[in-house]
Amino acid sequence: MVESALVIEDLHVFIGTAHILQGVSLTIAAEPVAVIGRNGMGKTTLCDTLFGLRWAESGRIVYGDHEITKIKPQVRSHLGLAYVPQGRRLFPHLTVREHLALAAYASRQRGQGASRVDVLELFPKLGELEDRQARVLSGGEQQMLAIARALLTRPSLLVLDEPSEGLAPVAVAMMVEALRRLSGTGMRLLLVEQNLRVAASLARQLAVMVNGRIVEETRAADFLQDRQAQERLLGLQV
Amino acid sequence: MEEFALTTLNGVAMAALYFLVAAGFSLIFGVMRIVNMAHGSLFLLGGYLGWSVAALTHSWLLAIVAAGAATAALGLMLQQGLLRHYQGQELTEALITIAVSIVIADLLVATYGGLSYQIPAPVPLGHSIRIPGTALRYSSYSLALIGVALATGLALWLFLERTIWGVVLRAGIDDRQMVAVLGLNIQRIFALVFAIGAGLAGMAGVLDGTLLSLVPGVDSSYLVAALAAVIVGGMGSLEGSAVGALVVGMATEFGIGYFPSYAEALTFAVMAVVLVVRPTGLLGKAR
Repeated sequence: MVESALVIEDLHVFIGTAHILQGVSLTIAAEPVAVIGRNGMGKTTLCDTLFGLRWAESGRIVYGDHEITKIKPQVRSHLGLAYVPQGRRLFPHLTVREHLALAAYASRQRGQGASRVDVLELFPKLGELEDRQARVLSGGEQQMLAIARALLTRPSLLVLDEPSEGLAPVAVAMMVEALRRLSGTGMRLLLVEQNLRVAASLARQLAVMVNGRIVEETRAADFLQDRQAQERLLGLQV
Repeated sequence: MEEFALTTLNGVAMAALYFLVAAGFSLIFGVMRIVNMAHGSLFLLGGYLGWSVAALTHSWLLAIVAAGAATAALGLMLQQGLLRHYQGQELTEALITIAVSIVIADLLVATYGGLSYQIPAPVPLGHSIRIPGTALRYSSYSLALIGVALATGLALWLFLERTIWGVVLRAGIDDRQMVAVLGLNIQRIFALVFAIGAGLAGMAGVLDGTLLSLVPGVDSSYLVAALAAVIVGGMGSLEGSAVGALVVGMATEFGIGYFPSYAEALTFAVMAVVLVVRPTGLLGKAR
């Protein structure tokens, strides 16, 4: 389904006077892609710009047949993009049920039937937590809810920013398993990660971001073997 | 004892008015982060419009409905015509609402002059009744006013807690960007909240014009009272507005009743104490 891929071309984004994204180009087609890089390299800015929470100074973002560089966040959602942002950004005072109802309502608003059953099948635990407020959930539960909320808007591309951050290893494993299942159903994934192991376990393609640019695109299997490249690009002491 | 009981009842009646003004003010702030300095002017405008409609039609009910609808429409125009273009620029938004409040206040002085107006109470509520089980007589209009505020509070609560629009709105209070990212049109929610808040202020103006009287200056005193109620109760919380309005209403009436020279100071003393003990207000949510 290459025809409805996400294409990012020479994207420049400033925050105040700081030149955060300095010409990012990246294409996401059927296969999951992971953007990796250290803190402060512009990964979250890239995600926020994809969803219209930040504006690009120049460059283009195209999703399928639509240029979305300058359109409103809600229209991007209508075109099939869904976001699981860094830190989850749940609504702390809303219950799990209200989160799911809200996302399902958003999907119904544009005439797409959303079924809650799908996400409860993917994350059965959420069914037991329906009356809890998001702020009292554990990190793993919050991440499940954030993914479920995004899925209920019926996306064709799911963007996840640092999904493994702050999660216990067992919660990371559960999440990776769920994302694998989603990817298997044809959902496109763009993963932004600091954790190389998590990135490589989900995506065969890696894009390494350094100082606001994608400096290297590589196969995950090759990069995992290449200690020198890891040290040079991520500063990892493995 | 009787004086104490009457002062308490007066306090609750004032609280009912303050609540109607504060609830809209607080919702607008909670969802849009706009401190609507024109809220008091919408209140006074509603009062004068209600007076005119009542003078023309002799119908109190028509007066309050017309005033609520007119101020809701004006609030909608203010939000859609001006504020929408400056979203996120909090200082600009505040300045716009101050400018609008001055324009409205001056237009009202130009139209109605500096005289004091009172709207006649609806006939069935024009006298006092005895409170069951006591020897106390109290204005039936004030009691009805308390009932109206309770009913409005309940309706708002049901709207916020039991409808999907309420869920969208509360989500917007927590994180309005994520509401948009989910594909919902947050602008429609902003417009709705502004209309509801402005309409409530206008209706409160008619209620106040019937209970007390309408004169220039009432707009700013209600704006300040609403601000105090919202700060005491907690910004963006409906229950907080109710509690804050009760505290401020009581402080106002007990101040006037027992130490009139310091009446206004009492309200702000209470506010200062609350801010020291609980900076987010009594029912405010920690952010």
